[in-house]
Amino acid sequence: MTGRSDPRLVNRLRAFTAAAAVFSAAVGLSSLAGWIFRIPSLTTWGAGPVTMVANTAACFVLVGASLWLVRERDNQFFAGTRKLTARAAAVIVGVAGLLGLTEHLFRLDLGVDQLLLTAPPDLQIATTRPGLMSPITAGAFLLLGLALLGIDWEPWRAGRLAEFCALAAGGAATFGLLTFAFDPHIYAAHLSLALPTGVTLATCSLGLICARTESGLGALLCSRCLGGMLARRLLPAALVPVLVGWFRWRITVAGIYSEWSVVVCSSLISMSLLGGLIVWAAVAVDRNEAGQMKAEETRERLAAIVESSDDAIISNSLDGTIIAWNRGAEKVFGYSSAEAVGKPMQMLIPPERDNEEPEILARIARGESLEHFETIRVRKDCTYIDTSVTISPIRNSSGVMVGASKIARDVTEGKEAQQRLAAQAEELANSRRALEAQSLMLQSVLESMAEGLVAADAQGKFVIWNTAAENILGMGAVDLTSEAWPEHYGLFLNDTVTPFPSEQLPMVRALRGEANTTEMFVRNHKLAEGAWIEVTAGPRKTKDGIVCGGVAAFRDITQRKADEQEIQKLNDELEQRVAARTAQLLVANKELEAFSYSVSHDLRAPLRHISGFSKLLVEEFGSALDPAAQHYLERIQAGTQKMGLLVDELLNLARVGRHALNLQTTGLNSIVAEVQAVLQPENEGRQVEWSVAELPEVDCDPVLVRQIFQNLLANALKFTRPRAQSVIEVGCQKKEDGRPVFMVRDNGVGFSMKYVDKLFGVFQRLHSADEFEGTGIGLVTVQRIVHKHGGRVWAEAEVDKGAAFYFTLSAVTQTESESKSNGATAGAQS
Amino acid sequence: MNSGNLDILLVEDNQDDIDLALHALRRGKLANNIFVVHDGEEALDFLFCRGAFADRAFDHPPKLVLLDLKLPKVNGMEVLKQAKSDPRTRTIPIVIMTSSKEERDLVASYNLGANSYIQKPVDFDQFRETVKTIGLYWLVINQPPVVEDSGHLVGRAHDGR
Repeated sequence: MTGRSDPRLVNRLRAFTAAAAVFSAAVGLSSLAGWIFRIPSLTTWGAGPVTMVANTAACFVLVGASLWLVRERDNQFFAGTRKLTARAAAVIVGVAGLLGLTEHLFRLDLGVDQLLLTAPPDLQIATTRPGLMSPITAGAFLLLGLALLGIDWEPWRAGRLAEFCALAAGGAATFGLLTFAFDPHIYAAHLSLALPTGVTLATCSLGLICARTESGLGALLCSRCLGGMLARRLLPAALVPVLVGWFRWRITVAGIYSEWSVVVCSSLISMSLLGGLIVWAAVAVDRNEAGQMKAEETRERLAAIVESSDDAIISNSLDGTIIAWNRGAEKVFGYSSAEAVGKPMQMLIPPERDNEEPEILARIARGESLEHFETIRVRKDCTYIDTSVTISPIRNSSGVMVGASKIARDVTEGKEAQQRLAAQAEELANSRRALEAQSLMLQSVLESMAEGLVAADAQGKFVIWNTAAENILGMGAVDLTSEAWPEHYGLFLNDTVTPFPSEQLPMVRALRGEANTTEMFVRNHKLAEGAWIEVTAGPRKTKDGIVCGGVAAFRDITQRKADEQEIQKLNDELEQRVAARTAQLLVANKELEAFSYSVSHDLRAPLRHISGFSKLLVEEFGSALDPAAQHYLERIQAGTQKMGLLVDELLNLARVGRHALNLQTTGLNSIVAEVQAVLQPENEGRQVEWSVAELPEVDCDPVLVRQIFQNLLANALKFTRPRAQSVIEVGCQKKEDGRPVFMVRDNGVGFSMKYVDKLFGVFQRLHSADEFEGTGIGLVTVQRIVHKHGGRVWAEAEVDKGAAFYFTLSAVTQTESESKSNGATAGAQS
Repeated sequence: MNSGNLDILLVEDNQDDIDLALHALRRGKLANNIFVVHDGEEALDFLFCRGAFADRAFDHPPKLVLLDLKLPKVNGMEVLKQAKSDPRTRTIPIVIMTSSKEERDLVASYNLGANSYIQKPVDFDQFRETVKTIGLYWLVINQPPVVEDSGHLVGRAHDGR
């Protein structure tokens, strides 16, 4: 199949060949049937006296069979039963024709015509010898046999020979047909043909010609080229002379018109028909030419585009040879067109990518196309370049791939720019992700807050309104002016009924630039019970300090309010109770004071009287009394004195309890010195060694602290009385969280630590009154004073080894201020 | 009742105390011109020369008043206050002599202008010594602001017997 054939025409020609074969066989068979069953119409088709003889009919069957078998080309000349059968049929037909012709030429009677059937006498009309085929038919069969035999035999252009034979056979048939057409009743002996014979012969000849479309007339008829088209259009012109001739003959026979007018008319008809055909053909040729010119122009434009492109456009054949190379390719790869065309594509591919091209070709062959395939190519100067290659297959008109076209672009620079862009894009994407993450975080922070948070722009339009805000207020953001907020959200002043003045709303104030914290009451259809909220609002400002919105955070303080009210109530109750208790205490205190007042007056007075009068009794009547009476009076005296002492000390203890602390910064050494002086009479006639350390200044009540030292030092003197040398030590240690611990130690009789618990009990004594006088109140008084100062007192002792008393005063030591003043002094001195 | 040229006005409600005080003063040779009143009202009447003492004259005040604080009717503190707040009686030395050693009494007495404050000791010897010392000091050693006549006027004078 060559490129110029039109496949549709080829198929039509083949179909015609097949139809011709079937027709031939059918006519032959029907004619035979006509002979056998004596049906003359089957052998004459009812036209004229000439019949198709039996031999002719048999030959048509054979021709039809042979043509059917050879209608497909087969290069194996003598191979296959099919071919052999075809050849055999062809030979028989040829021989039959040859024999028939021989009989006619040499007037022989070889009996061939009687071989099949003996023509009945009534049918043997219009023939010299009944059953003998006409010489034209015989010649045509000879030619057909030769053509069928040599149809595929092409040692010396045999195809053409077959066509000549077929044409000649066709011509003979046409002669017969024309004769018949002009006057079927004219009987030209030896030359007449039966109508079926003529038609079938012509059909078979045409079928033979159409059987081969590869070359010769068949190829011409189905060609898409100009020649084929002209042949198809102009061949019908061959019928023109027939028509004209037939016309002239009919006119002449009828004798209606003169000869010259007939000539004129037929010439005119010939001219018109031929001229029309020529014009028709010329128009087609012209249109074809115009189309080709247009195609050429398009091609040239495409070529120009290819040439002017900056991209390299290359095409290569299937084996990888470069066959086209544009100017862009010269620029990209450095090779000129002359250098490149005819060279292998491989020269553009780096050695390490050697296997790339075969893979590409394989993919292209599978019908894929590669677009913007990024790879590396090598230039003439051996530098490597980044290229983006688009590869697509080149196919011929039949769709077969014959090569590949490649468009390559140098993207080395673009690649760098692309990398920069990619980096920027990456950076952008990163910052966007970071922003997104941040915004997500803010969002989740906002949503997870227990506080309601809302933000508005400068116009008071809300831009943030978190879930907590919605929960606390019972509703979401609305696009209303601030004047409408109190009503919409149900905001009230602290009295819970007066609508909150909109100009005083925290957010409105924030938008005015004021930061503020406000409490308000909210009650709306969602919060029927109402809720207290505390709102903290402030302005949002731009970098230049211009207010661009406001933020308000608020929380539900309903519970807190309730708690506060509860606390207030409890506090009120407590205050009332405290007041009541205080009043009670005041009364009790008053009573106590009155008691001790009267004790100090009323209890002492009788004692004085007993003491006084018993003394007077001794003084004034002593001589009259016997010694026992005098002794009793002395005992009364001692009793009253002891009683007086007890009363005094008890009163003292009570006074200490009532005494309000009057804290003053006091140097303890001076107090100790005063007490020592007071106790001086006790030292009379005794060896007492005092050891008083440097004591700090402390904040204390000097009157009470004096009492402490008085009691402790008096005790020390008292209990060291049995010692030949009394040693009394007053010291101070820094202990107990930096607070000073004061100490009074003696070498007296001491006491057993077993009884240390009793030491600070009222009227508790560890020594008998005979050994050491005392009331058992002194240490209690000491303890009370120490406790009043927030301090602590304790004792350590051992029998006969002395006792040590320690105490602290919680008041802050003055060491710091002391050192400060010292520093100041030192500064002043220097 | 003439009570001019009086040495001591003893304001004391308790007879035991009066006896012991007089005994002590007598022992100190100071019991010559002593007048005793038994409550605050009487003391005020005496000092302001009114009531039973209307015939007294302000120009003959006692040289010393020994004033107990715990008194019937008007207490000693009130007597002290009125005596020290009137210019006619302000200069009379008043010594508080009481059983109490209450600090507030002490402070209040001095604030009201008491010239001295003495707690009566339980021990009679000490008491006697104290009274004697006071008498000596105020009647002998101390120079009073007003020079009085040397007349002897005794109303209900006690001699101890």
